[in-house]
Amino acid sequence: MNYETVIGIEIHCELKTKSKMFSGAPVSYGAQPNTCVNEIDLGHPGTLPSLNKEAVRKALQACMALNLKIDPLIRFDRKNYYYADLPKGFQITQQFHPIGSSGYIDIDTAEGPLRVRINRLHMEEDTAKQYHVEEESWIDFNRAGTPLVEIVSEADMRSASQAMAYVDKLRNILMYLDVTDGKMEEGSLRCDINISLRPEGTEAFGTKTEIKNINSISNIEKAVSSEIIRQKALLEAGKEVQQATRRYDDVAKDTVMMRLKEGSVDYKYFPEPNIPPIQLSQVWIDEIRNSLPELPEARALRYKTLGLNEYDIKQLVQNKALSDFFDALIPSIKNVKLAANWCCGDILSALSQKQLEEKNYQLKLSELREMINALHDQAISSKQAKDIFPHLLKGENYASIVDELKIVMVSEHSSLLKLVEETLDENPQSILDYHGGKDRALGFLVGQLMKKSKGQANPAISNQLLKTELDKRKP
Amino acid sequence: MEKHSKAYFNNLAHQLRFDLTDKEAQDIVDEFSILIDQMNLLNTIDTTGVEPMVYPFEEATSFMREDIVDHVLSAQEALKNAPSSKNGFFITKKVVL
Repeated sequence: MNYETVIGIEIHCELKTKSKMFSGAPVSYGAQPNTCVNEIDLGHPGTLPSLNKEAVRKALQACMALNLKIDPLIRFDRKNYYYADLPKGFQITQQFHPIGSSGYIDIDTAEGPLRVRINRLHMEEDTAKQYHVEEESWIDFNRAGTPLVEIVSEADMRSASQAMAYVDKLRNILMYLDVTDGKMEEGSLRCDINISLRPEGTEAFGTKTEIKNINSISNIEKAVSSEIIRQKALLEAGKEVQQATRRYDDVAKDTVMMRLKEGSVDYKYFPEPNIPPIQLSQVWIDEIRNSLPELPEARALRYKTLGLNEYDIKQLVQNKALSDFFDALIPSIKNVKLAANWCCGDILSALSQKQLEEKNYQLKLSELREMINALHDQAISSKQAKDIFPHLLKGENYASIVDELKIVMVSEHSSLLKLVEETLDENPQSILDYHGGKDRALGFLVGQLMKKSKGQANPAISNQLLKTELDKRKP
Repeated sequence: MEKHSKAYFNNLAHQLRFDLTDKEAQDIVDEFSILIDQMNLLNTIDTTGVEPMVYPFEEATSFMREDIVDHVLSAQEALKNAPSSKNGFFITKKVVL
């Protein structure tokens, strides 16, 4: 029997704010345990939560970019459960009135374009981090109270590649908005993927499993693929899929059971009494909408009008930090395509993603621009540019590198002609080979000429001259 | 376990990490039956068409806090009331949900 896969995804995304969702304690990753907390995060008696305006602004930006309908009356609810990661005994969330509902994003996959509907986006607070050590649990409340948005898709995806494309696109949009740092490996963007199979052509959903702990975009595809295979094998053997939470094990390359789901937990939701409803002003919402940053789709269109090809556009747009670098480079650049090549090639291999993101490098954009323009003007050769580039990376100026390396480009006709004639005189066999139809002979002669000129001959002009002179010497 | 019995409240108290004396448990059982009666009385009122009221005032507020770090505890202060701590962490018996 053929089966159809049904996938829905929940994404938890930490918002990039200075302070917590409901307290003035700092948000930070990797700090010493319990040094970024105050009484509110620890749920001490008598404390009152106070909503962070910047977190709401970022949640609104996300709603707008994901085409969600915004509820301007902010209301919170309590999700009650008793567990060590929540000192209050409840999490403040938006169960009944999410800030955003009924949106969508369009994704591109190998199977064609797909619109994935988004059911809701709501704000909540993150929980503490626990480390289970032998017979103890060690608890660090630094993460407790960090602003989060949870984004819930409809079950619109049908394959592992669609699931991956969805998370990738969503993450990219959130990165462009600068609402999150989106680091899956640090847990600032976490996805829970619900997967079930049903016989092709039927409507009723099969029993689903939920996969957690996926720490990279590429692991999404691997995790979903292996879970589809696992469920299919069970169904084909006439067994049942157990409703459970599983995690992806990167070493075993398979999903592993975490816990069975036995019925649904009653969280006894009720409206949060400590935060009265907050009415957002339409003026503020409009202001945020009107100053929304450029999103990936708009940027791709802009690059298209610059004349970049699809490959370069994709390379740049999917990496916001690199794309920002490119944007900073291109004012008064003479050849945008050449600049794109340098960004997607040498820059990407010379600078780490972290350096690009933090703009932490010695390379000066103005000097790189000067070199690319010189390359375009054929004032230097590609070979010379490759020699100059490592010096640019050290923060040196283009002009002084050219000076120091004694980089000269000989373009003057009479000097080049002299070089060409000498080269031909020294290689009579190659002349015969060339006229005998051996194309390689020309390449060899160019090589000899460049060697003779110590790499300083203008390659384009030399090439042309060589051909003209070769024709003159046709036997 | 019978609902709202002594055993029921003893168990609840245990989950909340305190103990009840036998008299306290009995008092709660007695008071609770009165409370339940009162709730049942309220349930007889016809509320068809009445909007639920959650907060004691009808007007929404507009205050939101600026995103400023203004108060943080030291780890020492944060851990002061913890029955058990180690290396800056709160320690509990192993809990895996």
